Amino acid sequence: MSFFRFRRRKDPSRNYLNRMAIGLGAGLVKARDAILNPDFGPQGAMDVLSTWMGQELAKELLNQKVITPTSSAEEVLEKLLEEVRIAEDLSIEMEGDTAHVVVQNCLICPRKVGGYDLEGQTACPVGGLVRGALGLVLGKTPQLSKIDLKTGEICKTDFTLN
Amino acid sequence: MIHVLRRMLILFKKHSLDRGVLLAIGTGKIRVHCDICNQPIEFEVSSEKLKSQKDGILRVALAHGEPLHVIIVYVDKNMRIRGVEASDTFHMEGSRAESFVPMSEVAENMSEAMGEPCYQSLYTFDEVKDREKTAFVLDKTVLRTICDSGVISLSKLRQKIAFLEKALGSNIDLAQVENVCDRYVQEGLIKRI
Repeated sequence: MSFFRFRRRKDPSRNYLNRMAIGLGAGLVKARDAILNPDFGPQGAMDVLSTWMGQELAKELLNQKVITPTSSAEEVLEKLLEEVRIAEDLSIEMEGDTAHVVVQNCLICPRKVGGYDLEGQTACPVGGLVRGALGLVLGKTPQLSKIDLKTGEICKTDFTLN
Repeated sequence: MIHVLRRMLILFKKHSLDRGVLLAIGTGKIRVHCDICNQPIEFEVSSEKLKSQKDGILRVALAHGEPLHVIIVYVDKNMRIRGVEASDTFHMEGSRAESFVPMSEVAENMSEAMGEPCYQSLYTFDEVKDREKTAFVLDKTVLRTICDSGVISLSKLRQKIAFLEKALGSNIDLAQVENVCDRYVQEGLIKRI
């Protein structure tokens, strides 16, 4: 007979995976009717689920005091994308109420990093993650006014915060 | 739009008569004679759409005339007209819950919408869906709803996309929907009326 006991070492940086799983589970339940609609498509499903994941990630960032409820949109974006390590190269340019987010060398691209054939579809979570996180922290939901996804290359997304 | 056409086909099959006198003219252009209004109607069909029909027959619903009425034209792969059905009544699809709303009710809804913006689609969703493939789900749903409805008021549009509130876990207010619509107006995909 053998007995193993594993105890978690405290490492807040690893909590993000837990939070994403929580968001994914909640999103699947809350959005199941929409996601099951074939009109929704993979990007639509990813938008919804990643919005929930973004909210959970923002809660964790607040828990760890990486951001505060008074943090600016720019700061939330920066910390979210940095902590979650979405890409190697990422820039945020604020222009009035609009944040231009450019992601290069994405680290979560199912095609480039995962090596999967996406069959001409996209499944980018960046828009949803940011929308969910900013919505939770700022209390107002940003509009994704422009999305230009080129899987595995450069993806540009504009968020309007008005 | 395809949904609308299919619904129309099912509805009109019951009330239809064969009344066609038809001529195919040129590549992609077809002329059909409508026995309801006694007028020739010309329309275009894409060869791609024809080829993609599993049973080899493309069904085209043509809404035209005053008062508005519909005929359904059956076109084969050789661009030849195989038959025409004419409707005795015409109803607009009112919602995605597969109910049909008479024209009088549509007019009533439009009058209820007095003072608030209405949006009219300039394309079918099939025509713009590739362009909008990466659009955020809210934007895409707004566009799809306008395309499916033809003309819709802002508050009705907001009602129809309300299911997204639960899915996204956040409130979607009229201002958000209007912002999305205004952007599509600027891009020339829909018209504000």
